[in-house]
Amino acid sequence: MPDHKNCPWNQPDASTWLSGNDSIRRVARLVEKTLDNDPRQFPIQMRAATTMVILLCRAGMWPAHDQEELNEVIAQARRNLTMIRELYSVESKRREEVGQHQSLHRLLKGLEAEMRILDARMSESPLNIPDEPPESWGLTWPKP
Amino acid sequence: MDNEADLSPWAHPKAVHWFDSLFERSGLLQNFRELLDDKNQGLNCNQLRSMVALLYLLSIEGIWPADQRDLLGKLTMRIHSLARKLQVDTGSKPLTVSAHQKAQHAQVQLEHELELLRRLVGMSKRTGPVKRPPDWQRIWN
Repeated sequence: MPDHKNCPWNQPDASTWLSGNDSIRRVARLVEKTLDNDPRQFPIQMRAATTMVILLCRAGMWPAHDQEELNEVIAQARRNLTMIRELYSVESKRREEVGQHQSLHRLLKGLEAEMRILDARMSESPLNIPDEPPESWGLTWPKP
Repeated sequence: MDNEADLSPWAHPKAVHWFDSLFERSGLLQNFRELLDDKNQGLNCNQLRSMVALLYLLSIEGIWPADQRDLLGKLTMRIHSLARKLQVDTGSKPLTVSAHQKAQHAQVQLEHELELLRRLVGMSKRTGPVKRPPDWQRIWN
C-alpha cells in the first residue's frame, strides 16, 4: 500500500472524526450501493461512482474497519470498470468500421488509467505509475 | 457516449445527475456548513486539514453541484477564519517540545493546503506556482 501516514486524514484525531461523520458514511453507502448494480446497464453512473472511489476511498478517509474492507470496495470498482471497458471496446470495434472510433479509443485509455490507479491503491508496494489524475479527467493538478 | 469532446467521468448528464443526487442525499455540504458554523464543534487542525482535502478533491467542476458553487467559497472562508483562531489557541496550551513541533507542522501544512482551496475560489492574492502539499504525496496511487 502507498505510504500515506502523513496525510491529514490518516492522523488519529482526523480519521476518528471522519469515520464518525454521518454524511461521509452516507456518501460511502450510496457509492457502494451504486457499485452493486450491473455496470453494463448503468455504465455512466458506475464510472461516476468509481470516480468517487478513486477520490475518497483511502485509509482514514473512507469509513471502513481496515484495509481489507477498503480493498473490497476498490476491487468492486475495478471489476466494474473492467466490464465498462469491455462494453466500450465492443462499441469501439463496431465504430471502427465507419471511422468513428477515435474518441472511444481515448475513452478506453482513460478507463485503463483509472483502473491502474485502483490497482495501485490495492498494491502492497507503490506501483511505478505516474502520480497524476487520468489524462481524460482534464485536471490541472499541482505538482509536488 | 454522447459527448465526443469531454471524456471525463462527470461529462455526461446522467453522471451530473448522479453526483447531484449523491450530494443531496448524503447532506455532505450542509453537514460541513453546520460543522464550520457551530462554535461548539471546535474542529482541530487535522480535522480542518481533512476537510480541506475533501473539499479540494470534490471541488471538480462537474462533481461539485453547479448550484452550490458559491458554498465552496463560503466554506473556504470559514476554514480560513477558524485556522487563524486555531493558531492563537494552540499557543495558549502547555505542550511538550515534540507535541509542539507536531502541532506547528500541522499548522504550517494547513496553511499550505488551504492555499490551494483559496486559489481555487479566487480568494488568494498570492501569485506564482502552487506546489502540492508535501503531506499529500502520492495522492493518486
